[in-house]
Amino acid sequence: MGLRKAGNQGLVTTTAGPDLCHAIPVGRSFIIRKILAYNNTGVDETLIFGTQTNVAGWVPLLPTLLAVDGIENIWTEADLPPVVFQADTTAGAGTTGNALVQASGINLLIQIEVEEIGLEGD
Amino acid sequence: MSTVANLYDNGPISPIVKIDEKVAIWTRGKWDYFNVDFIEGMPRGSTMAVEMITAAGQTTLAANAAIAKRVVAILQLDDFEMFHLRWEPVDDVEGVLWEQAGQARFATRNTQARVTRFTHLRDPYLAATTFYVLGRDRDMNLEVRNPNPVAIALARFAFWGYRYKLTSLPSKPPVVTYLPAEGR
Repeated sequence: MGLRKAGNQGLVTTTAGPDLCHAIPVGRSFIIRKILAYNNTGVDETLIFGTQTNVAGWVPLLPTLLAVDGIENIWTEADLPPVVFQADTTAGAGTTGNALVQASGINLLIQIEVEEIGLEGD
Repeated sequence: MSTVANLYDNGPISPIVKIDEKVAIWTRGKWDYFNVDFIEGMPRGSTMAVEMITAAGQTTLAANAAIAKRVVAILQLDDFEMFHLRWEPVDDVEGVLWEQAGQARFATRNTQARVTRFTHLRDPYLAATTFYVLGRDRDMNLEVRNPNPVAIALARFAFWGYRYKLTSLPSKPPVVTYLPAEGR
């Protein structure tokens, strides 16, 4: 039981590099609960959600998702494993815990919903 | 000493006494005695809410920044009035309660509790957020902290509870409800 909110980077347009979707608040962790991706690039694209090391190394945390061209692609809580994004511990020490998306193409529109868990242990 | 009831009961907020009952309020380091002449509800709503960024003259609250404690004008009273309130942030900010500007509330020697968007998850009626404001110029001060690593544009807080109208009594009445309204 946590705090549901939209990713704090808002609507993200992919650049085919890791693009920040949600910056983690100090003392909190979070789980991605929903992903919306509109693909109007003309071809199917892939998305991988993960985090970064403190020196910007890529750390995938969710399996590759296929964003089919020409439609809105939606993954909800029922589809997504509850991977906890947390600084330093999710993928070992030295990770930021921020959520980023690595898309195979540019100009996909992405928005995520996260459930943040606070210091309160909720 | 009579039993202190309803102060922090983990249910919906309800008056701590009935009309024409007596309260003893711990204020200025001693018990002051009052008759409760009148009680009315102060329901949560647009006029019982404050947006602290605008109140502080700012347009945004920067990432991980704070708004220094300041008086919340909507909670200012006249003498012989008392507010009995609960509160929570509407936006993802943390509220820190001060009694006037110098006395930390919800505080111990080493920490001061904050009311956050998480508080209601385990305290659904926000009973532990209960606080009191007694009389004129004994205002609450609210400090706001943004826990997010991004700037935010709104830091709204909602308040609700009861307003009591009091008459001062010269001495201790035989039956009285004790109210530890101050933190010292």
